[in-house]
Amino acid sequence: MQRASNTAKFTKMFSAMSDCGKLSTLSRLSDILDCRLCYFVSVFLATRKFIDFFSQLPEDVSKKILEYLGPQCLLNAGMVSKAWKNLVEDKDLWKSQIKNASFPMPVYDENMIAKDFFMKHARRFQRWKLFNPLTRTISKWPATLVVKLNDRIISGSKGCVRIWESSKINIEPEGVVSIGKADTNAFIPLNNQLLIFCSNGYLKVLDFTDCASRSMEEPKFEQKLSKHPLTCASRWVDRANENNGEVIVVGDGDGNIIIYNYEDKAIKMKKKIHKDEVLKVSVHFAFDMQDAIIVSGGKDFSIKVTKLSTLTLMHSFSIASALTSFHVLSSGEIIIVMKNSVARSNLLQMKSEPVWETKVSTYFTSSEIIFQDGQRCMVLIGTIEGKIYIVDAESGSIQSKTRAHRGEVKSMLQIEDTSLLSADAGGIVFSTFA
Amino acid sequence: MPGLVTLVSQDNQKIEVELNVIRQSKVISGMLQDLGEDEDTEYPIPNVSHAILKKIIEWCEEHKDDAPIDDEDPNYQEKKRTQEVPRWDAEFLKVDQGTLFEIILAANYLDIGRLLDFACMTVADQIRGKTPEEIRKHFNIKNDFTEEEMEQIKKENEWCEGN
Repeated sequence: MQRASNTAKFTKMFSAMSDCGKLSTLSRLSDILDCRLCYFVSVFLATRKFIDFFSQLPEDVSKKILEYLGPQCLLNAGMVSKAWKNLVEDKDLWKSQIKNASFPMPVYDENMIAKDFFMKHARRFQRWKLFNPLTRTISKWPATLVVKLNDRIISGSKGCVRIWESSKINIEPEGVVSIGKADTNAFIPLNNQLLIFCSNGYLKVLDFTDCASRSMEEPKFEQKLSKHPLTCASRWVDRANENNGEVIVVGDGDGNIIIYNYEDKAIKMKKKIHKDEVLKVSVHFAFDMQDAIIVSGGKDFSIKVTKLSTLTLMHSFSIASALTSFHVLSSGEIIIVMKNSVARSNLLQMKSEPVWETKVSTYFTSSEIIFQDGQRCMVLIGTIEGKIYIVDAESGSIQSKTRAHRGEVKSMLQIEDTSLLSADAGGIVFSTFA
Repeated sequence: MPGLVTLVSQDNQKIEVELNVIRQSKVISGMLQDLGEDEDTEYPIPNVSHAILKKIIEWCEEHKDDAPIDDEDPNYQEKKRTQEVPRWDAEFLKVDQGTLFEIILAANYLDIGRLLDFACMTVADQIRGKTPEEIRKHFNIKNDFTEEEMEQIKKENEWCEGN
């Protein structure tokens, strides 16, 4: 027993010494030991030659070392041994990886293990970035719009709306609802209802509450909102002010913006903002004031910012080429997708140079933003020849281009972390990265 | 001589060092404050061997004119993440592994922030870009995972490309 504990003691002391220390110890030892004992010492040292210095560091110091490593190095280090795995799985290490990630990353959810959180989003990002999905044409019916409402997938096209149960996506839809001779220009899913904004100026509503899609024949409700086509719409819920409640902001073919209260079925306000058709509207909290603002883009080559409460025009900016779409980020910046380019600007300083602008030789026809829950994001942009581009919103660089459709990509919709629905005249394509 | 203090290492050897040099160790400068800067006092450094203490003093000599660092400053933390070890320090830290780890332990014990950072960065550089097997070989570590455990970890760590 005594000997065993002595051995352990000596091993520990010796291994903690530097090479100089070891040399001087050994030279003193060889002075006092005879040949036989010297032989034993050398055998002992030979078997102890490999010493794991790393394991002798205090934990906060080994963590300090690991802090300098990137995610891939940390993963490799975690495969070295059980002790290293424990070190590497430290929460703070991965929190700093999340903070410094080189790709879009949502705000860390404290309920999740930091490493798992990082890995989940890293994988998700990689899948999107490579954009090498399994694609499947789920419908050959032409579609200009596609939306997910609870467990249904709904497409819109000229004259009708088609409905599928998302668990049974087949070529044939479960239900078809006629909306007359109009085009479906915008959808807003609202609880169990679908608001359809049509080119004949009508809002039509499908209610799925007690009705199977199979037996649905016509809209439950309709109301004329404008004598011009309704071209775009956006829903706004004022969480801070219950009284204001919920409004629907609609744009029409003549440049009007309409504030509509769906509960009262009443138009609250209407004002001509654009000189030509409104292409997109969205509502946001003003970045430096209490009020909410409407950002709208028109065929008149302009982007306008108006106050939601009064429809007072606050800012107006012209853009260089025809607008396809835009996305306002929580930072107060805007990503503008134009026919031949995509640019990022500060919303209120659009007259000055954009942060970046990427020009292309194709025609952009639709766009969808992904990872919008994060600080950074990426933009999917559909083109006239059926490709989907992925653009890094940080730098404007095009990460990949994939052909998903035969014709113009009319609309795109991210439905889960790893799947995308996109629509064109030839049908709906479901892309998944799982 | 004025401005000199005497340190006593683990193996009971005495080293004289200039006050303004060794002040970079927060622990020693704390001791000096507590015990008074008396020339006759010997300050024991029980956790550091003579050889390593000499190395530490050599480093402090080189860095005695550096501006003090603020560990809490987020800018410093950010800079630390991206900077490289300066050439002199990289040369200084080109030592066998035992010595490097002893320097780390000593810098940690004596609380010499910048030396600890540089030494940790040096070790991190030795880990960076290596496969698990290469790391094991470099640091003399035994793989104590079973084959099944290894498969499991590989699966958990799957990622499309290096980053």
